[in-house]
Amino acid sequence: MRLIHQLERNCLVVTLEASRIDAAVALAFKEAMRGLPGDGAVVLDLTRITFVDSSGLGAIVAVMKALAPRRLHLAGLTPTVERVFRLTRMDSVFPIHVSVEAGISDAS
Amino acid sequence: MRGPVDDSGADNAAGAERFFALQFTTGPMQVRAALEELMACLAAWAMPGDLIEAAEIVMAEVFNNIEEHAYGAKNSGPIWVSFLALARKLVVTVSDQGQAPPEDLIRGKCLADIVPEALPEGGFGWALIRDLVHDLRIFRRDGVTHLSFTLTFVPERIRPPYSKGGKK
Repeated sequence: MRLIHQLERNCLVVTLEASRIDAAVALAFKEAMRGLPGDGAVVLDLTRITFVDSSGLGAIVAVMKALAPRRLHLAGLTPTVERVFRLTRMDSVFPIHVSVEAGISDAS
Repeated sequence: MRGPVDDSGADNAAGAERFFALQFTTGPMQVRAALEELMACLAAWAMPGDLIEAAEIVMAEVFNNIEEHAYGAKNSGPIWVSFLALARKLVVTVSDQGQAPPEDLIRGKCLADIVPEALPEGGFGWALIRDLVHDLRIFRRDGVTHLSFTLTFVPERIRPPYSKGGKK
């Protein structure tokens, strides 16, 4: 999976070239999120991700742990993605923002 | 993959029963394609957005579980799916020829059992299914596992709080 990342203030904003984080790409997503440059907070741009399944959710949690002590912020959750986080209550363990800009403001 | 079996015929007035079925062979991209086709069907039937969202979450988990556990990572096999839309609910059946599922499939952990602070990386799939569907049934006959459940049109906000955390 290809990632685009750019430094905005002290945050690394990561955008995925994908529309779903599901069982088909969960492993590739975890691999791609390894070795991100810098040491500041990471804002994962989810505005174009329409679907996350349990494998994708597990992968995002794994990435969060692997990044520690860097903080992983999630931004721009679409309705179904937001619902998966809310139903599993995993929205309580991530800083979640309505937009990438809001994520950067909070994280930087 | 097959298309609609009996969809939007001339006699299919609003409120009439609608039926859709498809068969596909497991594989990550095949699961995606099947989900796309199934969600397009629900959209064409003008199902509520809430139900379509829940259906996509549930169907993805059901298919992933069949792929990973019933057939196993190294094998693939057929999955048969049907949707029957009734006045207030969607009746779903899913069948596969993989390994028999574990005994506790229906009564296992639900969403309230998830401890977010423990940062779990799995265990979400069946919990999501159990909490989002009704009438969950499973039986196995002649080497085929048949799963059936319903998704209702009742908005989440006026449903009993199955999964709002805390003790059950």
